[in-house]
Amino acid sequence: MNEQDLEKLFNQNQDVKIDSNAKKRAINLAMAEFSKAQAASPEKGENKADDHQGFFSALRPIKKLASFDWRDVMKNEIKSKVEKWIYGSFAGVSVALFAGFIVLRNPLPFNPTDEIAIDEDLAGIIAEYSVGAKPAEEAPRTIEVTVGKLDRLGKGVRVKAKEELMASSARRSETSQEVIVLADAVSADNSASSAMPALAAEPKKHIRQVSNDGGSGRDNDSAVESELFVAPSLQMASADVMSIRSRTHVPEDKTLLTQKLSRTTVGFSDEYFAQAPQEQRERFEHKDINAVKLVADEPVSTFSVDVDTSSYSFVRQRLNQGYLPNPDAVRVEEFLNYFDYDYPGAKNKSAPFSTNVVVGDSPWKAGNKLLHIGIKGYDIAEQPKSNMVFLLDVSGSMNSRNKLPLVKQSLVLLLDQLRPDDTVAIVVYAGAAGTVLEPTKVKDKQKILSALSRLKAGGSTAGGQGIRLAYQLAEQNFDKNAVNRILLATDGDFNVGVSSPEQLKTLVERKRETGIYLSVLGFGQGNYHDTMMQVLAQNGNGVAAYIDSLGEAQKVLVNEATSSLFTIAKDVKIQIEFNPATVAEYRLIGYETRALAREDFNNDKVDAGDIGSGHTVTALYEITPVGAKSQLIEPTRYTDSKGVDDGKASEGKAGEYALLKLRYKLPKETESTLMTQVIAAENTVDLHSDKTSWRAREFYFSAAVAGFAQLLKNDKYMGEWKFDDAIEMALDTRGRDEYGYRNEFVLLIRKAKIAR
Amino acid sequence: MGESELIRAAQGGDSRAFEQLLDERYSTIYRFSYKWCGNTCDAEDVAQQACIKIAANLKQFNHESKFSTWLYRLVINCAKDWQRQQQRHVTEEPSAEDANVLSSMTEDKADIAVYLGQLLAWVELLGSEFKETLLLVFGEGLSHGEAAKVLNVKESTVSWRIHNVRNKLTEFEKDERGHL
Repeated sequence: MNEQDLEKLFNQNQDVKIDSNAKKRAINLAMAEFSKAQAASPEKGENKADDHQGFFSALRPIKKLASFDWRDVMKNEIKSKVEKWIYGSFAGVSVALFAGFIVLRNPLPFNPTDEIAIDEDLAGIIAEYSVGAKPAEEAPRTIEVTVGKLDRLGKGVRVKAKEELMASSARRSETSQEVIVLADAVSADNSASSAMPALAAEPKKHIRQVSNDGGSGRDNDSAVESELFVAPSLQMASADVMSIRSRTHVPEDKTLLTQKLSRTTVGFSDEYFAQAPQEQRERFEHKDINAVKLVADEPVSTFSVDVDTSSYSFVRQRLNQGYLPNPDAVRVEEFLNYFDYDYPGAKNKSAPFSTNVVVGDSPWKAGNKLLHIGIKGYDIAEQPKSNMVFLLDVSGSMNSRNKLPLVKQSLVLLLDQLRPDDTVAIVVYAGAAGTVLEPTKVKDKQKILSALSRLKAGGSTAGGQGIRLAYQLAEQNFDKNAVNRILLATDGDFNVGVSSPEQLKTLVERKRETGIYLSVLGFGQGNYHDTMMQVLAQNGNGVAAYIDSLGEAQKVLVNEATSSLFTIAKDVKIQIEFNPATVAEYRLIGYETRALAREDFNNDKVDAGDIGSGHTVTALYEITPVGAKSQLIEPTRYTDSKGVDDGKASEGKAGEYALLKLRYKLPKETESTLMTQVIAAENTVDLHSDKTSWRAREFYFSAAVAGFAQLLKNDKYMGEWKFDDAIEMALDTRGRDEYGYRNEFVLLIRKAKIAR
Repeated sequence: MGESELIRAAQGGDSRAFEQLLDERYSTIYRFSYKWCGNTCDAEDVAQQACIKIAANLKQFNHESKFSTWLYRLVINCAKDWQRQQQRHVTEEPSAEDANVLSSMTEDKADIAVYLGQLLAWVELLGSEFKETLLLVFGEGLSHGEAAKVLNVKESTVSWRIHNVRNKLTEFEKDERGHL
């Protein structure tokens, strides 16, 4: 093609009609702008650049800013040679100084067999700084000793640094003399270093000592600061970031007036870091495990149900990698509720769930009993309409195999579960939040899929903004008769915007009141922020699940999609009142994060957990019946352990362990309904009962799960019970296990046995 | 009233003079925007933006150069701003509207528009300065000297760019044939 063709092409394309409306609009806007510009500078018809721009505008190197062409800068040349020299030497000195600092901060590895050498120039440099820092009267002189073979590279750079510093250090003719004195001090210094046995034992050592000393060296009459660098195989500057700094006091000899302070900088070898689990950056809230309570003191126990499962899958991931999890990452209730239990279900909508109580002997403590409470929500026949907003974290931290790609796969799975006329929108957040997909009907699946497939990870994480935008979209498309839910997928790193858990919590709570719920899917590990996930899901009337594999995504979003997404009852609270005549002590296993105050049970304003369609919720109490030898708490000497009621109230109720009370609200209601059930004081299962009946099977399986979780938490109540006991118990009670979750559980216990 | 008087009057605050100026110049602005963007919708946006910019900055025009030179420079800046904004939308796709616009044109013309769009995108691979040079010289028929003034570069630079563009065009044609 030549340019004639091209011009012809342009001409052919030229006769475009000009839209007169567009023209009018443009001109009108321009006129508005024009009059604004006129109003802004009514009297000055001249160039804006003449306006004063600060006091020192006269001194500016650039005179007329508006007419200034930046391209001219490139044409400028440095005029005089003198200028060139001044700039050049200035730059050179800065670089050399900078290099000097770098070298001082980073001692490099050296060979312990090399002889000890004193680095004079380094000494000079530090001596100068120390002297400069203190008035001469107080600190006559500071002498710097460096013991250690310095690397060649470092030396090369340092020679440069030396050049400029020589000039100033030349003033001090004593420099070389000091260095010799300090060479002697090195041997004396053994006293200091042997005061720290661990460091003295370390053969690889690079000692830098700054001693504030009158020149007589060894006498150590004033404070000695010593810095010990133990640098084994560290290579790079990053060593500095990783180093752990500790301060130790080193005892000194008789002439001491003050204690000497020594600072120790220890850089660990790479090997050490390979062992240190990543988990350190993951945040889990520490909660003390529920303690044994005396029925006489506190006969009532209240908690909210919890259907989250994230703890189990997170721990599973750790164990699969061969590590024991952080005990705080283990939440017994989430272990229990990870599994689906085969309880007889509820019949209808008005009483949305069944409560099933089983009592049996405690596997880990003879004499104690376990009280197993199983709740099963009814299965909704028809899936309700839903309005979903996927809020996806696409920040840089999501850029790994088990994060964003897994998020995409999971959502594709979920799409298949939704009805064609449901709507889906996608909001992403990273450095900034943005809508990737406007609310779209599920039947327009291709559009959703292509929006998903375009997502890429990168940038920082503005979680707060993203959440706002997601709520906005959900509100835009709010449907009173549908389930309005935001599904947040993240690795939990909210580092920009509304990031304090408190602020987010308030936001989520407020939106919950308007009927938009929030569920959280956690992904990946490394900087997993468990606390935040819990706060969001618990306050957003949603579930928190942790997705570590496609299999888990399948479980949460396909097999249990209806229970994860469609709530049948909300604010479900359980309260148990124990009978002091039959129960001496009790302990709620797990549910530490879900404890409620006794008075909150009847207060409908207090939020609690929700139950989805077909969900099962399981809770276990370990109780010690009156008279059993296994009682932990001794009766007190001065008070009557029976309390004040002296048995009147419990008269005629000797056959009861406790009264179970349960409160719930139907999804659209604001007032709660109460259900009660009396728990009889007798075992309904025992070890010899038929394991094919649901009672025995679910009772012992849940006991195995709870036991395992408690072992991982290093629970003090577990006695001699071991992983092997859990395996045996779980093996017997796997049941039909349609999806193989219970089999996997057994494998997991085996992994825990060998994990470190 | 000649253009130069119109401009002076507008600079002095005469809004009617300014309106007349815009009215006369709008087609130049719009056509150039159209060549740059390749579709009416975006071209209207760019042209509108350019008009607003003229209103705000007309006082800075100092009559040292030709008004058209100043104008081209301003429109190019607007077009570049627009392009930068477009790039920020990662999910940019040819929208349904564009398709409608294209289909409403005659088959032949739609082809030309698409072809030109591809060509410009291809030239832009060399660098955005090549696209603007090409548009000014071939699209607007400016001489190298005039284009150099608009772009604020030396005339030889423009000639060099045009030379490169020619080479690229030959390549483009080969590439097209290769695909066909």
